[in-house]
This record gives sequence, structure tokens and C-alpha cells, in this order.
Amino acid sequence: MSVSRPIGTARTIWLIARLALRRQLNIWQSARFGRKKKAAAELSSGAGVVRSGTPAKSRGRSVFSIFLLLIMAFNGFNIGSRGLIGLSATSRELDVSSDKISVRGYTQAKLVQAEKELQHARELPDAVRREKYLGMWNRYVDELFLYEVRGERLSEDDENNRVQQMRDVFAQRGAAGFTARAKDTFWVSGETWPRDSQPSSVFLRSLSLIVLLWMAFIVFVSLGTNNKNLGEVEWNFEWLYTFPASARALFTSKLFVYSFLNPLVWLFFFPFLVLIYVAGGFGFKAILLGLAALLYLSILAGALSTFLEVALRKLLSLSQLKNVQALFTVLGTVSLLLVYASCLSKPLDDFLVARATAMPEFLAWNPFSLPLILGLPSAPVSQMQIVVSVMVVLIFAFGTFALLGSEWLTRDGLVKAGGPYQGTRRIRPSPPHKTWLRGAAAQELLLLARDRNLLVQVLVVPLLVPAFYLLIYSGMVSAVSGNFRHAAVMAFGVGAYSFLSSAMPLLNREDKTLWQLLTFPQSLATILVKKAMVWAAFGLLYGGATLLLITRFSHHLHASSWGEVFLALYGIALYAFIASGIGILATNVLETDRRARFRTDMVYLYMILAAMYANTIYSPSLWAKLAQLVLSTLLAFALWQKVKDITPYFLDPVARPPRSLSLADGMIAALAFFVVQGLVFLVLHSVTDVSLPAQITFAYILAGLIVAGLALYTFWRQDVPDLWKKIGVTRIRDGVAAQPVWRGVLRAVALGALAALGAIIYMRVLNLFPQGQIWKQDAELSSFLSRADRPVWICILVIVAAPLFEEFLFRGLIFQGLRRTTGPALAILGSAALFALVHPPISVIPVFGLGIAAALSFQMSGFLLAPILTHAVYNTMIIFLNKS
Amino acid sequence: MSPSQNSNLVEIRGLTKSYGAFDAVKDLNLSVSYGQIFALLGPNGAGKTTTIRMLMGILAPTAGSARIDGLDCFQDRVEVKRRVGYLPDEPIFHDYLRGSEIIRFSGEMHGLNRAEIEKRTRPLLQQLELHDALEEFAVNYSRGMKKKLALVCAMLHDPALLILDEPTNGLDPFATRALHEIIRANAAAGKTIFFSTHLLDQAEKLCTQIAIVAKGRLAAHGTLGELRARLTSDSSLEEIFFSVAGDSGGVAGL
Repeated sequence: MSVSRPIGTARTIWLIARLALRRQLNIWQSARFGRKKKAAAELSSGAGVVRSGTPAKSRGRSVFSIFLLLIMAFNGFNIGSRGLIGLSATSRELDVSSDKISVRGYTQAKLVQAEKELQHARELPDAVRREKYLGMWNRYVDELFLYEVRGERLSEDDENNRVQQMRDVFAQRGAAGFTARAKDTFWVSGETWPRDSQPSSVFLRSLSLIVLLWMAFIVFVSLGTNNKNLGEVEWNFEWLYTFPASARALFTSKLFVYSFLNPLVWLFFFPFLVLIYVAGGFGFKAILLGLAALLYLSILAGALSTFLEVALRKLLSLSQLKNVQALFTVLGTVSLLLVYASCLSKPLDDFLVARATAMPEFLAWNPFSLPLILGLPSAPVSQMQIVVSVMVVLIFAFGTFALLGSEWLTRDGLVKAGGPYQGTRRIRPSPPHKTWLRGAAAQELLLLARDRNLLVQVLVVPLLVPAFYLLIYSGMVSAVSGNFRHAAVMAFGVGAYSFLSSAMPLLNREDKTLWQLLTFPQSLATILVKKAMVWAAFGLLYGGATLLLITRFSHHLHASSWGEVFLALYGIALYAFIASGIGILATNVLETDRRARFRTDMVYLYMILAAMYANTIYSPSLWAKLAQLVLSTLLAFALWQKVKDITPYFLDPVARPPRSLSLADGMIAALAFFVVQGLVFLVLHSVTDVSLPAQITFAYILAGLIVAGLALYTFWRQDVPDLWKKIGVTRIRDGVAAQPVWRGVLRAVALGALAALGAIIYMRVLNLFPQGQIWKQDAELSSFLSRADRPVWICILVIVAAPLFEEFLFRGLIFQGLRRTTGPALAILGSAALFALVHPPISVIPVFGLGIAAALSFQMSGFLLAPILTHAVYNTMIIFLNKS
Repeated sequence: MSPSQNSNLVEIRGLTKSYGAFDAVKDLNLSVSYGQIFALLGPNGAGKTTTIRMLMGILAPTAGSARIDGLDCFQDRVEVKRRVGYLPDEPIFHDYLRGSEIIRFSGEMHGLNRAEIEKRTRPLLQQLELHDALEEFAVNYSRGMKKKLALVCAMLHDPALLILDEPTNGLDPFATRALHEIIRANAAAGKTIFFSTHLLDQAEKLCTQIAIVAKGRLAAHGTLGELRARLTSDSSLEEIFFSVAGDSGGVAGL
């Protein structure tokens, strides 16, 4: 006798939606921010031990994810508002007679003023003064034009032409030849939606086109990228089908989940919709209206997705499904990129507005743009009522269509007959075996050739993004063909970008087949290196092809460009290993949930690193290039050292390599230090007006504080045993402990003084040579060594704070990290070399000396205070003794 | 190498694996000498798979050690794998790869050339009747076929030790019989077989040595005869199993 009781439709939907929500929450919950809790129950044996889930290895999910989430939400708003503002401006321009040049309101006002002043100047009796004033005002007008043109991201030639055109118009017609563009605001406001009927309607129609793109994105992405089980044997819907619930209830719940539980929609689409109503002048009510529009559009998209999924599953075979999924991934990506491109690019905006103008007005009344009509600033109430009632009807129509359609499709069963065993069993001779590629690399290539989903993600999507940028920044084409440096950066960018989907998810792709790799008599790290090499080759192919194409069509590859070619290609090869290293460390192979298996925030870390590398291709300084080259290479080695450390423990849910500070930690901290330093400097530079050396010093110290703090926090959270001892805050070795502290202190002071003496002598020697003097003066302009306007507080910071953070990074982390794998001599030299590398070229030699002195005093005394003291003594002496 | 390491192919000493407060395997001591067919018996959740995964170097022991041919299973795992063929309980293969391609890949990873792979595969395929499915994508195989394919891969490099995790799970009677024959033939050729199972009759029929584990601990160890002698009666393995694993053993392990 069964005790199963029938449950209603509403209850079914609730249960399934709750399950989906629970799952979503669990994903978020796995991102814990507190310290890992110690197992409450101590090891006890025998009965009474309740087996809870095996505690996962903490993977140190970072503060970084929250930060990213904020940035993404901000981006949603920012891009949306820029798009709306641009669109608003473009639709307004339609109304203006085209013989006037549209400029910013500010420029227009200044032009009127300048015209008056010029008129005034021309009437001056004194010829000399007249010339002077005329010249001054003409220069001012030129500057206005330049300022105007710079904002449009044109190539240099186009810029000059445009400025010339403006000059001509101004000479002929004065300020009357210009018209003020709509008010330039950073944020969308109630005025953004044009009020005049014609522009207002064009604005509405353009928006409806953008919303159509959004809908395409949502549907394609939920079926493509997000829906991993579309092309798989197990469809989790089959499981739900085994419960005693009606098909209708199940399909309804699917629709519900598709509609409301898609985080992408909430993160990106919702801000966009809210902004539309803000533009319509609804103030805070815009949030409610945006929510209503979102729910309406989500249900429509959810209905489409549900029906499409059922139809595809029912009508297509498994292999066809995979291809369709690949296609959807591409379409979804392209739709999103088009949405963003339309927000960021003026030419595309023009195109969109032109299409919208040509489009008959009634098309704006399609189901997907109905909510937009509600945003019209001056719509009559009766029209609103009609729109709302049509929307309600449409929700039911779409829902009913999806449900009845799905039911009809599955009237003779949920799954296509035959189950997993579809397709004919063809006995074909195996393809000829290529003997030059064997084992892991060959398998990777074979998979790439077969799996079209993978092929698209790995080889096609990376090409879409550069294409997208070319679309947005029309000036980029001429820039790339005009300057080989741009071409090199572009080549590096294409190569490095391709690794995001090829080398980075290297291990993640292995998924449940990892067991097989573990049965072979090769270490997993070795196998992974071979796979990384395959992707490095593909990246090089892409980068090389980019370079060849550019040189073929536009250049002039002169001798000096070979350095850039080398930097680009070496960078690509290197970043294949950095990407795969980061990717492997970011993958938790034990995690069964696909979305939680891979820490996506690490993608951004990689992109930041790659951007830094690309930046050095631009850098004119050979030194900066060398430093970046060495740092990146070391980083790659450090990452793979870490990979080697952890690969043996991959499938073990509890054991981990003995925790310690690794070189990788130090390298990442050092790199982060320089990024943060640059950022802080930029902020200070634009916000305060303290002197340049003060800014540099302050940025340096603030960056040290931030990075050191974050590093300590991370180690603390990871439960590194004996953390303080390892960094050297307390004594490291007991063997040295017998030594009295004062001896360590004395030695530290002596070493610091010695290093400072060396530095001063070095400076004197430099003074003997004319080249050295120039060099030194150049350096002093922007470096620490300049003593001009250095207030006391800066001196104190330099003496007290700088040694603290620098020593923590370079001795506490990097020296100690190196010390783990090499002897003291190599560790001292290596850490000092790194320390020297990140300083300006003039001070490399003295700083190298300081590095050695500090490392020596650390090594000899065994606590971090010693090198800090050494460093402080050095800084003090440099500041006060190097006066002449 | 000490003599004790020489005489036993598999040497497990004080092996322990804990997940937090839970001991999946606790202080396990076992040794298997060359040419044995050794069965690790136990109810679900007794720690059989955990033990096998530690033998394969997939899990790191919390305490104690497991050695194969004198090599530490975790520290020297690369060398260990030259000597070991492994059949997991549920082998999962890459989609988009054909059976033949997976076999070739496995062979190449063991350093075999194409002719050797061909030569060694042919009799195995014949025996397991896997021939006609070789050009099919392995992801479409039924569970039994996947298992056969994994078995072929495990035996490609002629390992001294075969570690089989629940080998007959999902196999049809024909394949089960073929597997039994393969196991016996291997043992006759001087190879050692270490397999886990909860099928008592299978263990009774095949093996020369038995260890029964329950709740992560060794409950009994010896030949079938020794176990019988210890329990005084002429009992079947089933009776022995229930008496040492205990009625509660199955429940507590779940």
C-alpha cells in the first residue's frame, strides 16, 4: 500500500523552485569569508561518531569575489547609463539641421564667448596688442576643438581633419556654425529621454531594438553557456519526471526557474531596465517599474527557453544538441557584445538609430518593447492602461503556449526513443594515427577536433572579442596599422585572450575523467604541462597570424620592431603557462557542481596580469621591459611550483600539501604591490595637490600597507601553521635563539650602514662621469632621492613605514619562499635581484646591495625585525648624508 | 630492501584515513604476497574504496603507510603505477573519444608503441567481446562496456598487480565469467590480484586470501580455510562475514 499522496501544481512549483533557490544559495554559501572552522568534535573513535559531510579543503575564496561583484554591478549601471545617454544624444541630433557641427554645451558656450572676444580684439587700434590677443584667442579656440575631438577616439589623421573642418566652419560662420549637444551628464537623469515627439519616438524604437538583443542574449545564454546539461545524457528534468507530479506542474516549475533564478539577468539586465525608467523621469519609482518590466520580460524569455529546450531535446539527437548548444553560446555572446557595443560605440549608435528611424512605428508595439512604452515621459493614462492589460494577457499567452507546447511535444514520452544509445553504430577504421604527437597532447587535439562546443569556445570566441573592440573603437584599426607597438599588443592580446577558454580551464575540462590520468606512471603535473604546451602553441599561432596579417597589409617591419615581436610572442608562450597555472590552482576537482568547480574570480586576476604585461610592451623603458619579463617568468615558475606541490593531493578531500609560504605567494604579493601602488598614485595624482615625491612616497607606503595586510589576512585564513615564525616576526630557528637579541640588532645596524655607505660611494662615482650626472638628475626628478620639498612626515614614513612593508614582502615572503627550495646563498641573491628589479634603474646597484644586506641580516638573526632595522638605517643615512 | 618487503607485493601498515572526526580506514594492517588473488570484503561504507584509492596514491594516508613492491604508494606513486593496473568502480571516459582511441592513449601513456598496444589488446578484446564497440564513442557505452574498456586499459602494460574495485558490478553473466577467467589466468601467470567486493560467492569462488573490513577496521584476515578454522564450524563465507562484520556493521557504515 503506497503512502504517496498527490500534491498540487502550486506545491510542485514551490518545491522545485525552492530546490533551485537552495542550490543557488549553497553555491553562494560555499564562498565563505570567515576563517575555516575547526572540526568541532575531536577525534573520537567507536560508536556515536556521526558522519557529517567531509569538510572541503578551504580554497581561500577571497575578498576578491565581493569586490568583483560590486564592480560588475557598477558596470551594469555604468554601461547602461552611458548607452542611454549616447542614444539620447543621437536621437536628438536627428532633429537638428545637419549643417551645424554638434559640440558639447560647454564648448558651444565658450565658442560664443571666444567669437565675441575675437571681434573685440579685431577692433583694437594697437596692431601689436591686436595680434597678441587674436593669436591668444585663436589658440584657445583650437584647444577647444582638440578637446572636443579627443573624446571621439579617432585616429590621428581623422582628428586633424576634423579639427581643420571645425576651424573652417568657425572662420566662416563663427559660433553660429555650432550647436550644443544634449547636456553631457555622467548619470542618467529625468531629462535623458528626449521630450520632443520625433526624437522621443526614435529613442523608444532604438531602445526596443536593444531590448530585443537582451532577450536574445538571455534565451541563448540560458540554453547555451549556462545550460550544461542540454547536450548530456542525463537531463536533470528526467529525475523530476519520476515523481508523481503532472507534466504541466513540472514544466511550469521549469519556466519559473528559468524566469526568475537567472543571476545574469538580475546582475545586468535589471540595472539597465531601471535606468530606462530613470531616463523617463520616474525617479525612485523607476526601481519598481524596472522590477515589473524585468519580471514581465523574464517570464517571456523563460517561456521561450522552456519551450525551446523541450523541443530541442525532443527533436534532435545528442550530438546535434551539442552543436546547437555551441551555436547558442556564440549567438548569446554576440548578442551581449552587441548590447554593450551599442552602449559604448558612437558609430553603432548611429547605425542603431538609423535602423530605428526606418522602422515603422507599430513595430515598437511588439511584445518585448511594451514595458518601454510605460517609460514614455508624456504618455496618456489611457494608453498606459491598454499597455498594462496587453502585458498581462501576453504573460498568460506565452506561459500557456510554452506549457501546452511542451506537453504536446512530450505527449509520447519525455525523451527521444532510444535513450543514450542513439545514433548508428558505425564501424569505421580508426583514422590514420599521427606518430609525431602522442599521449596527452594528441588526446587534447583529438578532443578539440571532435567537440564542436569546445572548438567554438576555444578557437572562435577568442576571436569575437577582439572583433568587438575593433567595432567599438573604430580608431583601433588605423592605430594598429599605424604603429607596430599597437600591433604587437594586439597580437599578445589575441593570444593571451585565447588562453582564457583554452589553457585556463585545462584541468576543469578533465572533469570526471581525471581518474584515468592518475593511473599512468607520469606525474599529473607533467601531463598537465604537456597539455598547456598544446594551448601555448595555439596561442602562438593566433598571435603570430595576427602579426603576419598586420604586417602583410600595412607595414614596414623595421629592425627596431623585432624587440616588440619578441616581447609579444614570448609573452604569449609565457602566459599560456601562467593561465594554466592559475587555472589549475583555481579548480577544485572534487567539487561536483560545475559552477563551483572553478573560481571565476581568478580569471580577472589573470586578465590584470596580462594587462600589466601588455602595458610594458608600450613602455619606452628597456628596464621596465626587462623587469616585467623577469617577473612574469618567475611568476610562471612559481605558479607551476605550486601546481607540482598540490597535484598529488587533488582527489583527496582532506589531505593537502604541508602548508607553507611559497614563492608563488611572494611573487603574487610583489606583483600586486606594484599594481596597487600605480593605482593609488593615479588616484592621489588626480585628487590631491601635494608634491610629486610626496605622492610617490605615499602611494608606495599605502600600497605596502594594503598588500601586506591582505597577504597576512589570506595566510591567516588559510591556517598556515606557525605563520609568525615562518614570516620571521618571531624567531625562526631555535638554533640561533641562543644568540642575544642585541647582537642581531647591532649587526643589522652595521649592515644597513655598510649598504648605505656603498650607495653613497656609488653616487659619488656616478658624479665623476658626465653621463652619470645626467642620469642621476633624470632620476632625481621623479625618485625618492630628490630632497626638494620633502616634508618631515614623508621622511618619517620613508624611515619607518617603507622598511616595514618592503621587508615583509621581499624578505618575509620572497626570501623565505625561495629559502624553501634553494640554499641561503641563492635565496639571498635571488631576493635581492628581485628587490633591485622593481626599483628605478639608477638605484639598482645600491638597492641590490641593500637587498643583500637585509637578507643577510635576516638569515643571520632569524627574525624580521633585523632587516627592517637594516633598511631603516639605510634609508636614514641616504636621506641625511647624501646632501651634496 | 628488507626481506619482508621482498616477500610481499602489497604491504599495508597501520594505514589510517580520517575525514575530520570520521575514520574511513583505521589502523589497517594487510599484506599480500606474489601470485595471490586477494579479496577485500566488507559492507557498503566499510572503507574498501578508500583503501584502494590510497593504494593508487589518489588519497594521502592520514597515518601509516601502504607499499607496493617496496615503494610507498603516495610518495613514489609514479613508479608504483608502472606496476599496477587499476579498474575503478565506475570508470568515466571523455566524450568524443572512441574506445580504440582511449586504449591507444592508455598504452602510449605507459610508453608502449602502437604495435605493442595492438598485440596486447587483441586477445583481451576477444575475451571480453568488446571488438565491435571499439569504434563507438566510449561515453555511449553501457556501464558494463565501460568497465570492460577500463579493464583492457588496466591490463595493457602487463602489470604485476591488478587492483580491481568492485570488478563485476554492472557486468553481465558472460562478462563476469570472462573476468573470472582473466583473473585466474593472471594469477596462474604469477600476477597478483587485489580486488574489493561485497559479493561473497565471488570471493569464495576466486580468491586465495580474504580480508574482511567493517567500519574502517580489519575484522578478519587469512585464507578461507584459516578463517573457517578460526570460527570452528564448517561455515560458509556468508556466515563468517556476518559474524565478523557484525549485523550492525552494515548499518553504521551507511
